[in-house]
Amino acid sequence: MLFAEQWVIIGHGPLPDSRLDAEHLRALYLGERHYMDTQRIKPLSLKADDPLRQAFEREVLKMDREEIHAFWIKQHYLGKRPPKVLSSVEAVLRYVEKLPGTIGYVPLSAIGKHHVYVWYLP
Amino acid sequence: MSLFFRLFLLSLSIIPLHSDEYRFGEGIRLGETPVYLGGYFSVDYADFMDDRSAVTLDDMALMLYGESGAWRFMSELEINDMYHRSFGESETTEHSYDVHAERVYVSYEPNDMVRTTLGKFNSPIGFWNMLPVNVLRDTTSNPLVTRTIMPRFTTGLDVDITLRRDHRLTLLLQATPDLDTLFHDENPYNNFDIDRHLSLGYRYLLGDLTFKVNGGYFRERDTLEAWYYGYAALRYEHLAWRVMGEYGVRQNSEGGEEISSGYLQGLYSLNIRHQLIARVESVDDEWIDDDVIFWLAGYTYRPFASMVLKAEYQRDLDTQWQKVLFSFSVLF
Repeated sequence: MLFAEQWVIIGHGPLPDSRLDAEHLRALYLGERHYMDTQRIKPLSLKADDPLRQAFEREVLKMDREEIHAFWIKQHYLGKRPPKVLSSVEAVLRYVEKLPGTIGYVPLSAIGKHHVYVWYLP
Repeated sequence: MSLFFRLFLLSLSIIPLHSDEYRFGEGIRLGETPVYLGGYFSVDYADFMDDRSAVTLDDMALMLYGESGAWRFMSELEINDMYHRSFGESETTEHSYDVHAERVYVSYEPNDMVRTTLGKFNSPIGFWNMLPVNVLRDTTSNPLVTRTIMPRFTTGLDVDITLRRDHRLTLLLQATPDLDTLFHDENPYNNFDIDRHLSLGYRYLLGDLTFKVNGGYFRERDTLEAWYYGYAALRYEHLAWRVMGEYGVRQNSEGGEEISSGYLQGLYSLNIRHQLIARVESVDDEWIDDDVIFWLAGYTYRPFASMVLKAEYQRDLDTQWQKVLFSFSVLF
């Protein structure tokens, strides 16, 4: 199932750097970079079968499921972990609202009254 | 050490495993701790095509690792050549239950520019040595250059400095014996038994091309023989192709013996499960006055990303010596 809605990357507070581009975002989600300015970033993800996650991986990571799994197997040997997986968009919103440094992808329309900041708009 | 290994396994049996997020090959979380458990094993079969052959349970390793903020730790214990049976002119069976400390380190990454690592780790030289386990490397056999020029492991300090995203400097410093000498003083787990290692490296990234160069010095613990080495590596990845080459030279500090070795390898991915590999290798060892050039062709099948079946044929260009290798390896 394709994800047709507008999605965004949200953060706990204001964007710590001047901007977050797609390359930096990709590096954060693949564990190649961990910081924005001095803020250590903890990316969050949705479950593997979530259409939004599939859209995010296709558009930002530019990898399919099998490529991502193969990538994280190598990282496992190097002692690195994939982003924490949460079960729903609502859980991502609550997590980011609560914990500084966390970021996540959510549909723009789901933000509602949650106190989060939009860091990236594709 | 074997008592330590048993205690290690016992401790795992009493900690509840957190399996909700588990995917085969990505390790398993220990309860609610930020600690993960994984491991790998490999079984190899070699046919020397002269009535001799051998089966080896080559690697059996457990990894325990985790991270908290900018800190990360890794510990890997391994039993190497746990079972070896040879067939043909001399039929022998050998067992080894010695547990070795393969990697034990703590690293600290206060920002994206600097990472420091303290402990025993894979020497970050070339490409092959960064992912050297059978399940992750391209062929069952390891290129000789990765075993003959520089120490595979360093016990000490590694400082990585990223100047810009495409330029990185590495400094390696060892001033003690290998960490594994705490458990195996006679035969520590490394290709050279060293007590000194100093190396400076530079990595440059240009699109699909990555270039690495290292220069260093190490000293053998028993003989105090000192060696200087230079090492260069190149990797080019584009679509289904990957071309990789590494070349190194090692010379005795007195300017005597010199050994050089290198390989050039091409890999073509038919898809994510099937790969074809061709490689040519050379070794030139002045001490034994030997110069070897051989080639190999291999095929790799990954039914799952963390499970690999490999076949490989090697042939020496001069002597026509040949060998076939098969292996099955799993990361869990």
